[in-house]
Amino acid sequence: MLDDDEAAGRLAEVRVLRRQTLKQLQSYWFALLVFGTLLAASAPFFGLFGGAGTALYWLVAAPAGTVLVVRRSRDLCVVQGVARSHRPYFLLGAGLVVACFGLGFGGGVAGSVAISEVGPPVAIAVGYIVLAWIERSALLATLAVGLGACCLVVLGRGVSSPGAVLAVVYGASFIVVGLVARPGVDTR
Amino acid sequence: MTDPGVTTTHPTAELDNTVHQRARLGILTVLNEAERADFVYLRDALGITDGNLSSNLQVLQDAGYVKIDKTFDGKRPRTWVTATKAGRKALASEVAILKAIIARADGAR
Repeated sequence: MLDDDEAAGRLAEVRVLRRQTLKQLQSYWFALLVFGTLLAASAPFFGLFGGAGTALYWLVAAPAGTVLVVRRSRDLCVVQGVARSHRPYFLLGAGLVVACFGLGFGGGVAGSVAISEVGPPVAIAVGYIVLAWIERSALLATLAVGLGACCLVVLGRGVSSPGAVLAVVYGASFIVVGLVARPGVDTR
Repeated sequence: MTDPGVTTTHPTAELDNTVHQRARLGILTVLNEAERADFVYLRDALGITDGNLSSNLQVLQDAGYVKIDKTFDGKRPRTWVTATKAGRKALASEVAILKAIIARADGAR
């Protein structure tokens, strides 16, 4: 019969292996660098072309960024010998695209700059809470909460071009967190 | 005194020997987090020999807990292992039983 000490030992081994595997599978830092750069680059579009121009930018930038991230993830899987399911990421990404374009266009039609420019960043912050749960990452959860707080501050201060400001803040935050989360060596 | 209406079977009796063995429990734990893993990754993650891993994978495959695919990476053969739904369920059940054993011992103290 298995005693409780053996059971506790076996459970501890399971937890350690689970953590090691999750750590090996974490490669969100690259997605943060890619989308952080794309976000920062989108800031001028708010001032130059308004919401519609920014939406067009993202119609090109979002699929391009996704292709880069997915291709790297597949290459990494071949090198590391371990892969995670892409399904939760695709579902989250699709949800974010729908939410961002819905809020952006909906707010534009309704004539609300607050909704059209701050709505998408709020949706992204919520999306990053989901991503933090998928990745079991406290760093991502902290980032998501911080981004949500930034949205509130920008809204509260009545900034003239909140979308552009948040694009720069988000872009810079993603790049910094991506660099912090980047492992020294991520290939075997 | 024991209530005759209450089943007193020790949770150990419910353990599935196929999953309970240390290496096999480790294989299923890794595969439960990952979509798939290759032979070399599993061997290194678990710190076991090729022969040990092969025999344990065979047991898990025979039980329907893992699926094994042999592919080629260029000219190099590669073995990918995936946990089946039954394998994930068996792992969840094993973990629940281990927790029940600990809870039972804690309750008795």
